Amino acid sequence: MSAAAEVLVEPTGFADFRRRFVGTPSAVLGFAIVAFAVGVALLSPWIAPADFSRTNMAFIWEPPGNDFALGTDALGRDVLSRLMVGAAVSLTVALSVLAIALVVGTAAGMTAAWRGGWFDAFVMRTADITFAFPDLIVAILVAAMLGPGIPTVILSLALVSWPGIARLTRSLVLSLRNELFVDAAIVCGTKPATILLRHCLPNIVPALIVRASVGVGFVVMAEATLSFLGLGVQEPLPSWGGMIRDGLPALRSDPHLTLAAGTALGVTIIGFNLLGDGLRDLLDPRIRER
Amino acid sequence: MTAYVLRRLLGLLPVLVAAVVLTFVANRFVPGDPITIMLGDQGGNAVLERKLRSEYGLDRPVTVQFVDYVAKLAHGDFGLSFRYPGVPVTQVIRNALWISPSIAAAALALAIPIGIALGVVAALRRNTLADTGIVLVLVAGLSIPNFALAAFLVWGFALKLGWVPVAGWTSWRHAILPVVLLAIPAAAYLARLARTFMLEVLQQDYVRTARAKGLSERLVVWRHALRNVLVPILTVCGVIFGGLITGTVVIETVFNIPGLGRIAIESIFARDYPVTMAIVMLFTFFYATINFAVDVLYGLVDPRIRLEARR
Amino acid sequence: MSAAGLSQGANGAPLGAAALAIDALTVSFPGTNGRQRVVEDVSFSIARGQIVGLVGESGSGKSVTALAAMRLLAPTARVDAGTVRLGERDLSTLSKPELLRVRGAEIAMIFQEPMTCLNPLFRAGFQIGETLEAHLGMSRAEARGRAIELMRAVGISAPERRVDDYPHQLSGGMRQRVMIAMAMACRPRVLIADEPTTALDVTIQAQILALVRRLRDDTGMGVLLITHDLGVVAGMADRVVVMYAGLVMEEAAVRTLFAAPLHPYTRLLLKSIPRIGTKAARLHQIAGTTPPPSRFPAGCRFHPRCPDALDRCRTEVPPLETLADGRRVRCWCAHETGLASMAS
Repeated sequence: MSAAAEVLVEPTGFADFRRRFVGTPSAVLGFAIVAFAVGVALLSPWIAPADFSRTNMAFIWEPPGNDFALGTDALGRDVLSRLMVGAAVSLTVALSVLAIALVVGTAAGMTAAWRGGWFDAFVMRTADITFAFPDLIVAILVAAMLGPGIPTVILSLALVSWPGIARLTRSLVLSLRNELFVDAAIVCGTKPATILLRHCLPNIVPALIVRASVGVGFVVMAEATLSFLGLGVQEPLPSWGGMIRDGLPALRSDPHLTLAAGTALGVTIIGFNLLGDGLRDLLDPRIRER
Repeated sequence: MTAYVLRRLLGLLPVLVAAVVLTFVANRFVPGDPITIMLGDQGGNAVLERKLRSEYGLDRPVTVQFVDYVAKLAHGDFGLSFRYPGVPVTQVIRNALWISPSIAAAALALAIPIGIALGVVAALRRNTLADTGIVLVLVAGLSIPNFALAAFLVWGFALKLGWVPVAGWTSWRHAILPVVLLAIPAAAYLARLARTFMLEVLQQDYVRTARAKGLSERLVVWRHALRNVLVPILTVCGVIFGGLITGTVVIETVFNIPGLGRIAIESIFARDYPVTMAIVMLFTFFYATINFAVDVLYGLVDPRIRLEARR
Repeated sequence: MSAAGLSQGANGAPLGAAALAIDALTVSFPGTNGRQRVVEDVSFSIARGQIVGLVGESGSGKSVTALAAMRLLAPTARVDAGTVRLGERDLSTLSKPELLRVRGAEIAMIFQEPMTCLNPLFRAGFQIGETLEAHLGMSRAEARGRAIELMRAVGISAPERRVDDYPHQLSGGMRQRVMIAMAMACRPRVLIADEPTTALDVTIQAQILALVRRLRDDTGMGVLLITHDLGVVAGMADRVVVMYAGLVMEEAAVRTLFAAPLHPYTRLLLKSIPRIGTKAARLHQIAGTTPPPSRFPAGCRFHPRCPDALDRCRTEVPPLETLADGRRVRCWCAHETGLASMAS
């Protein structure tokens, strides 16, 4: 089990993991931020003080105050409500991207490792070529081709995210192939798909979780960037990146929109990265990005 | 060494081929007919339409178009712009060509010494308050998106304090905020790596040997350990430069700088695909060239590889 | 010479000129339940021109003892008590700049893994020359010339060429010679060799050991030879210190120790040396393993593995007793059988 021991990342049980996690202040801080963001996103339909899309020309660019906790934007919409819904939008996109990238990446990586041959070569060369382009450039290119919108954002970010996961999965499965329990399964005549899903997958899940948690911060940032450039989430749905852009022209007189959205975005990504780093250090220091 | 360089050059080929094919495909299969868009309210003018189609080579079979596209690319010809009918793409981007790489290079030059110094200091003060503080600052530097941080810095330093201009591209003072903003995540990334590598290197036997020789801590750290940290750091400079080039797209949009990045975004919205694709090609080319240069440099710096290369 | 191990004895009368004297050294590391003593109350000394073998299994604390003597311990380690004297000077109280002047010049060290002990990014000659630049104020060119001489002196052929080689271009034995040249650069009074041949082929091993012995003869330096290989000790050392679980278990002149080991642990170690011509079908092994510091047993630390353990061994820590002939042993068995009572 020596190679598998490197793959199995949590030998001592959940209680020990929790003890060590609590002993890492930065990870706890990250967890708190992420939990807060997720809570706000989930509860936004009920706790948002106003309708995020209702315009009110009588109250444009209201400063933060009693009526509007964080002020209003150029169309008189409540900034706090839009921030809350923006959290939901941002996290939905991130979750979708990761789900697609994980499913595609894991499937491609496992198949490549198991079958070898041309499929393996194909997957790995595709990954190499994807890595040869800067991430965001690819995303921008795809967004330009497909036209802006949430599906475009999800697709383009999934496109740049799956190869890393495929590579990781492939290397993990390759090291598992030499394990006795895999040999035993082969001898018993178990079908390859069953071996991969029933026997290999549980062993690589912790590593995948770590890889995904480290990647969330990047996905949230990339979505915000695309939205900021106008290639991502479109009106009337709010997105933090779009709100920052909308506020820029009024930065001199009414900075509250841009600064509020910038703070929300920055703090959330910090939270995800702190949590991701913490999980990586705790679960498996060997897994590096990409 | 020549064989090594050639081998690395060969490795560039698939990337460039992929870039050419992808940009061509993207160029031809984007939604909306560019000629129709170009014609605008002259939509019924069949003569003008035929003239434009032949001018842009769009009346010929796709395979011929591709061969033509590649042949022109080989001569540095990216075709004609859609937004400015009849104007070659090269003319649209000529003045902007060096702005993005220069900003990115300046940011990298700023980020490397700061990042490495921060990382080394954090490693030397491992598990102290200073280390924890630096690590937290680094996470923040890596996490806060450029345009969000830009908003804060513009608001503070340009609007409130008036130290630097808000936007534009007419004096060197206009470059300060963009370069600093790009340098921040790069420096943070480098510092994190430098810290990790330094902690690893300080555990190495040869560091203990250097101490056993009676070398001062200064020589042990800044000569023996640092050089071993720099070698792996060099390898990621290519990736960092790619990130910086990408960053210029955002930064140039924020600060209204007439570089490739801003033109790329403008041309996306103007559906000027030839310009967009040309810029994507150029960015890929810069990225690949830098990575190639890094590979060669790596061979020069590390004697183990240098020797393997000599054989 | 045989009493040199006690030269700095309790009565304070130096019997010989000790090159290195370690006295009551105790080193601890942070563990899961507070600090754990990895080396405890270790004392021995090395006379000029003497080779002292420090023997024990891995985890016995022999390397920590050596690193403590060099003040090269990891920052987490702490020297809780004891002194290390180099000649008349107490290394443990030296200031940092004073220490830098002594380390590498008057006391030098070579290590187990010549593969990883040289910096891969610097030329061999430069790494030797660095010592000379640091301690003798030589210029880079002078240091390079002297490095070539040193490389020739440690038996490296064509040193004019080898001086500009990088470590990965040298064989393991060659690298260890470079390490030795580096250590000998300033003619130290004491050389600490921590398993210098463990990672090398047997033939190279013999050459390196012969080289160390020759250099000792030429310079009169004292040598602390750390090894787990009693065969190496038999051929090299004048005196032997046996450590187990952080404690000195026995110390004697090499011939006495091999002829009449007193401690059961020493006896088992001797039995485990493979001998040509013996009929034993399999190598003798000592049952069990050295416990980690967190699980050092009460009483004598060796008692769980000791074939002769008495009831007393389980509860009381035996003292390190000095016998009439200058040898020392820490064992209740030896004590009860009356051997130790020979001590005056």
